[in-house]
Amino acid sequence: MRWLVIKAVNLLIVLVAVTFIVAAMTSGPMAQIQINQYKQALQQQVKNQLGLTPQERMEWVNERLQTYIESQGLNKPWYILSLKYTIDLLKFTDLNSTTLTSMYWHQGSRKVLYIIGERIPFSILLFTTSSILTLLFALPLALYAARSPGGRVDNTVITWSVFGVSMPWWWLAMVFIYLFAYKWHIFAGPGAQTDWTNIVDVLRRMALPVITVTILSIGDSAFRMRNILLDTFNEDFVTVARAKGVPEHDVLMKHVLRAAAPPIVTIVLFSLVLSVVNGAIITELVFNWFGMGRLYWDAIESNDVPVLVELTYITTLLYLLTRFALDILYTYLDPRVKRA
Amino acid sequence: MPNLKHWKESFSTNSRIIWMSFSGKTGIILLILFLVMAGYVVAFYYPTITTEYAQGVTALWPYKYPVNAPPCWSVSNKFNQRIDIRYGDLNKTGIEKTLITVQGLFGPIKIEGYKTEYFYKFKYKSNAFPSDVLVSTAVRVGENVSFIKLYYTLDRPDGSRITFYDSTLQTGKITALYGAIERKGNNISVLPLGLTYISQSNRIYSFLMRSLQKLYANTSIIVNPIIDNELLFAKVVNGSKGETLVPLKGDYTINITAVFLPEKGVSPTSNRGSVNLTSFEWKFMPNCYGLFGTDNQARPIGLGLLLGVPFAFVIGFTVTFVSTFVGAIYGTLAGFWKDIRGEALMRVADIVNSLPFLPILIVLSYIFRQSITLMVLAGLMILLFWAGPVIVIRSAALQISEQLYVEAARASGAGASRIIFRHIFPQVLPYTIAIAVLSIPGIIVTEAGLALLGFGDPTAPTWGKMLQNAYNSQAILNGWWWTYLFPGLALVVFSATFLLLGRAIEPIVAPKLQK
Repeated sequence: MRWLVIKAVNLLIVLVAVTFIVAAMTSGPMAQIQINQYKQALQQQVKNQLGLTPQERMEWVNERLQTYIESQGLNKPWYILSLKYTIDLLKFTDLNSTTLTSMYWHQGSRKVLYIIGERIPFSILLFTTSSILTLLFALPLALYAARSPGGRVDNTVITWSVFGVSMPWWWLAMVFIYLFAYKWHIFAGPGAQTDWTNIVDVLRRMALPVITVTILSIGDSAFRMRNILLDTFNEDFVTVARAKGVPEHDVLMKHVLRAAAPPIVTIVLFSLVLSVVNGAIITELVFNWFGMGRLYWDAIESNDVPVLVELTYITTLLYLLTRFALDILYTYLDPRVKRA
Repeated sequence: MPNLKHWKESFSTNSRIIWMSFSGKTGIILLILFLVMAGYVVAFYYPTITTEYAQGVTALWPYKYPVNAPPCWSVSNKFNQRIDIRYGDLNKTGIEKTLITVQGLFGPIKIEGYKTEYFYKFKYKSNAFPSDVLVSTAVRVGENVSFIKLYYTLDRPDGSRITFYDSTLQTGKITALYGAIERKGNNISVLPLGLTYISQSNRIYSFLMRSLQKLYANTSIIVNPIIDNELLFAKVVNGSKGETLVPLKGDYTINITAVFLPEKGVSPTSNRGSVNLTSFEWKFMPNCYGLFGTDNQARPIGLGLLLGVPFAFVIGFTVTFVSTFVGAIYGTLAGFWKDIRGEALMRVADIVNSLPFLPILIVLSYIFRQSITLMVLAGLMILLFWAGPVIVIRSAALQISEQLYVEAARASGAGASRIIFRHIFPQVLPYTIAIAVLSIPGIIVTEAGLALLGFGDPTAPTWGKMLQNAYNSQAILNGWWWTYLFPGLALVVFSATFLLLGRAIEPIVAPKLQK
């Protein structure tokens, strides 16, 4: 169990480091936003205080604001503030957005956690579907490619992976939207009316993003799988199996694939997760998909720092947890890996 | 340098090996092509044109290029007639006497006044519409003119008339009836404006709108608030797809007539008592442009593709070479120190490597968004990407540090820094080259992504910024596919160049990397 603890500790360190960096970079604006929000609330309250002169009202607000600032430690230097926000983020303390509001979950709420929470399922839905589809298509392709390295299929896979890596996903998304949604009217485009609570609507809307992401990631995934398979083909036990006279088909399915499955599943899934975190943000923006990536854009557009900060924290958390889960999966699938 | 001859030899053999493979050959040809383009841009366009292009100084472009024109090869029906009417082309009648009808207290009164007329006849022969009609007209009315009425019309071959202006003007002033007046020192120049860019506050707007609505009143054509210049030269035809617009060929006449009355005792030919056209220009832009078209700010896409090359090189090379160099030294140290120090270095690199890059990059760029330049972006990327090559470099350094010659150096009393920089680091360098070349595409694509989110250097016309401009101008919805297709393709080809080169270099410098 020692490796598990080490991985978990590593995860925590990374999480705290990221959170601290983000909190340190944004502590100034965050504190200002918090003070302004409390001041606004106080100014609303002071209207109910009857019989006060304007002078007294101002004093009433300022007094309470000072107490609040001191109790929250908002007048402290930046490193203390950063520490405060780091702890706030790690504890999921409720932050309030400045302009954005949630649309479905606690409709109209300003709580950042609700705003982000309602978007998470959409991102997961989109990218899990395309990951599964990618695996389904890439594996046969990789098998064909690995059987005859340098053959036509192999070259296709290599070229495909070159284009998949060297291309901004969102650019192909723009081209596909133009062709499939606006020109040929095959799929729903990003401007289509979508009721995000209606599953049929969402699925209809999902087709084009899923196709785009899948097409782009198949090449790279297949290339990685092919490399793993080629390595496995060179192992001694494959030579032995062939020498024994095992039919080529059985060599492939029973010996090679069994041995290569764990790294294929984990490495490919891992590279998918990585590419999703890095590629999803802008892909979702272009497709106008109601997910976390789109929320990044909304937060930037409306200068909503609390949302941006919390969103970065949650993205990091999800990303690290997925990595962690894949690590465990790998060691579980492959008994050869020493759990040391 | 005893090694020089060896290096030269290995360079020539290695380049021959790279050239032998297909990917290496393609990569080298493309790289040379890009380098030539970058050199050309730096020599002739940097920094004035690049900055102007990046900032989209529309005032500089409209005279030269059409707006949103598709590439010419994609247009079957071209507007191939060049119409460019300047002040000198106008026919001018002298100042003639005429009777002016004025609304008096008890009905219309006829007064003897003066009239001056400018006109120009042209033949519209093309089967297509121009992409843009650029017009600038300015009229000066003398201080001592007591009455002025101006008629500005376009007579069409079918006998109908489009009115641009039909009203009085302020005296003692130059009035732009089209376009925007700009002051440059003491000279007043009238900038041309496309018909589609007329603002609703322009004097022309309401007249033109009313007259077009009247002209197309009995058809299903809707005159949009953004006036479509096609409507000037169109006739309605009933086809299979309902009513469509086709060009109305024939003779058109632009006519500007001023009817005026100077104050008593002021001569109608003097400057103070007359009405003069001070500037006039009509220009019809072709409906297609070059191989790549133009964008919504009348910037040629082809020029943008060319201008983007050196910036792609700068951002790609700065980030990769600095971060790979830092990573290489770091990894060498981590491999050299086999104690707690090496372990600690690897822990830090692991942490940096497991950061989700783009979200953090977005937050960082958001914080520095006010002062973002290409170098700030590069710095931010270096901060996140330096740890990438550490693991590979460390394992290479580990192997090398166990070689006999390192042992020998150590036994003969060489210090740590001498062993690292004299014996290990030079051996590690080839690995870094392959890694650096292979990581350039990722950097370019990341930069483009950040540019799309609005975090781009305002003075650098990168391909990412072109894509951002296309995205922000709703190019997908409007069908301006050339504004985003070509910059994206440029990105792909540029990235692919380095991927191909990297694949060709890999087997030579680092046979182990192949796996």
